[in-house]
Amino acid sequence: MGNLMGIINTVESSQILREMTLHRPLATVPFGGKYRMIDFILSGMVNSAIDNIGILAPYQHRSLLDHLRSGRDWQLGRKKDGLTLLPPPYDPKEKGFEFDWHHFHSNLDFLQKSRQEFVIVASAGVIGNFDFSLPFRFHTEVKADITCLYQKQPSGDQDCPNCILLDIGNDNRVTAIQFNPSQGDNTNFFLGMFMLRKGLLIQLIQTCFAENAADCLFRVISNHLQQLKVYAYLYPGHIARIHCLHSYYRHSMDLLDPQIWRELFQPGKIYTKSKDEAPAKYVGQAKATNALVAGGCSIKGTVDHSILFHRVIVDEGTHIKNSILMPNTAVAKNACLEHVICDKDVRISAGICLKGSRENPLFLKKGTVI
Amino acid sequence: MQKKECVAVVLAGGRGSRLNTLTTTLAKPAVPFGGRYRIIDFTLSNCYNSQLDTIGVLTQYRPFALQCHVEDGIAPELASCTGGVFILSPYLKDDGGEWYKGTANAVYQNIDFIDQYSPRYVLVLSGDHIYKMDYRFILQQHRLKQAEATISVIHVPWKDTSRFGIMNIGDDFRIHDFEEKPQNPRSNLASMGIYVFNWPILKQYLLADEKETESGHDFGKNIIPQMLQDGRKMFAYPFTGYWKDVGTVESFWQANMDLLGDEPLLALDDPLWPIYTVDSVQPPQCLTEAAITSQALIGDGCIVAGHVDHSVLLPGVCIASGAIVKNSVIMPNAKIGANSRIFGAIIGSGVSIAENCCIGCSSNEKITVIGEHAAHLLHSKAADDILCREDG
Repeated sequence: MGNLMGIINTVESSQILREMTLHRPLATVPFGGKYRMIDFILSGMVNSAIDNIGILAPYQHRSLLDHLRSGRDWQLGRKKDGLTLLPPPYDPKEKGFEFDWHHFHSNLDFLQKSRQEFVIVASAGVIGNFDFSLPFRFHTEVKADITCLYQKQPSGDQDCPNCILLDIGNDNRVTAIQFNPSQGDNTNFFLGMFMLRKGLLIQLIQTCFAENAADCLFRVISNHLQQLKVYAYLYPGHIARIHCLHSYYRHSMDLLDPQIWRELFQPGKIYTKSKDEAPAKYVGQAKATNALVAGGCSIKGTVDHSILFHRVIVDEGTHIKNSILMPNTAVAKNACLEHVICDKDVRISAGICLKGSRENPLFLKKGTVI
Repeated sequence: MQKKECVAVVLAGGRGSRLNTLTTTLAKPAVPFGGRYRIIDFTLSNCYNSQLDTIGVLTQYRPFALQCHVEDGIAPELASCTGGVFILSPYLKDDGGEWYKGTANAVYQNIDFIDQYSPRYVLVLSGDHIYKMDYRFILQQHRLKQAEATISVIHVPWKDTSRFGIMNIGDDFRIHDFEEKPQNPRSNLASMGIYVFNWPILKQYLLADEKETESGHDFGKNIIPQMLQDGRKMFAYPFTGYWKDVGTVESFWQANMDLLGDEPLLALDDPLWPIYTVDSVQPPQCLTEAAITSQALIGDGCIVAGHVDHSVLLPGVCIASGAIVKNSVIMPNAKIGANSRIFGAIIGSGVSIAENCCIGCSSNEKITVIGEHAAHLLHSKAADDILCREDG
């Protein structure tokens, strides 16, 4: 798809996972045992042969730079096109700096210089195994101005809060857009991804900048629904929208179902920053069932229904249940964790017992020592 | 070209026919090993960790997998204007060129490559050994002793001496003589196939050896004995760490087993000595409801629903429910069907074992090898077919 470029917007979504997003954007929140949130959309674009990708970086973007580096791990370290990190606007005191269109506006050069005619704009808050070739074909065949990707969710789904819903007519035209809707029967759930001609995107960004009215770029699209041909495309496959700690926990745990594991990881490869971790090691009386385990882990205790990121150490006599342990977590002997999420570098001493609940998992922030 | 003190050359051209069907499609150094690696990763990581930045990898037999692996694995780490890792295959020359006739001839054919860096020393290594070694120490000893050649040696069990080149040394480590695969050895110090030479001297011997029509053009058989005969200053460097030549099915299997346990003979997760490799781009392993694992090393992308005990699983392996895998090595992307039992076996890459099969015998000390070519055969077998083979 040489004629389609990608923009990943990591600006819109911060602070939503409490302490987990205090020091990093949602885009670099660890997810799925060895990935960061952004890996899914980025790999989806690469797997759809999109090779010019710009990433709108938030103000706090050290972890993003550290993760993406040259883009080589996504085959994007190229001489022509490849990965471009688009820095945030210079002056955060300027009016409207908190809105994403401001970030778009300060990187208009990048859009103007790119040789592709079409752009897909996406956010990093949605997990899936994406392939944009069919949606793009649809977009060009119906000669849409804008095509929004959506999925149907059961009414009253837990992922509904703070989402955007689409009202769709019989001809797949979007007739109305609801921001943060209250409960209703509309279940067409916008994935935060839309494609359009580059020229139109530039025009919309300039409109936002001139009017300084909308709180996000997508709002302008909704304001101009009458003038634009906006279509909706139903995206198939397993999708997870991460918008709060609870949804993070629930969608993480879903991966323990081998069926979902396959759906998320197998159609197209999910790339991430490559690390030379040793294979996971099970020692002595180790027992692991219903678990997702990444490289570099060393397990001597019991792990059940849990996700272990890189280099997690589970010592003898320790029980880990319904928990998510991020990289470098070390749990000493005879400890017991249940419904716990440990951010990176957490140390749990011997004999400690910590319990959260399914609805309210206990969260330990980065570097906690107990 | 910038001058280098030491250039490393890694001999990686051999087929390794004693590894049986594991090397029908790839060279021995490219055989997957230890949960996520390939054999050559150990030697190349040793070079990088020892701060050697100019490495030639001599390839010949089925070089493709090996080449890809080197280029994606260690090469980015070594990328620089002044050094790097270079794949050196036989090439055409004015006089026509030819295949590598032996280890010494392989280096002889690449004299120009080494000469570019005008090194003082050349470190000759094998691409098919499993070990962690800081080459700076052998180089240091070589320098201090003002040696012309230094050979790394290790004590091997007396019963195994007939498989190795055995050194007889004096108190000062000076090598007196060298016996290739002796029947009545006087020592159990075996050559590890790791040599440091002063490049000008080695070059001289390589040029002379090339003219000998009777020579096997081999380091162990020709160059080393000739240098000893000429009274060159040659020293042994005794190595005490873990080292394994994985040239046979048994030693390959044993080296995999040596990685298991709380304090394995060879630790892969030493942060001070990382082993660099190529990421398989696979998701984290998925253990299902029924999975049981104890004493195992499991790579990314595996789905385990059965029982894995004292085994090594390479990336992308699938163990169906009810299956039992014990004392075995399962190569990448192999599939073990439900309720099958695998004991003391090496299952080749991509092989599908049907349901209710039995491979290897728990009582048998021999290792069963199911090669890649067996994939189709096993797939089409009846579900309750019993397979129990001697060394394959």
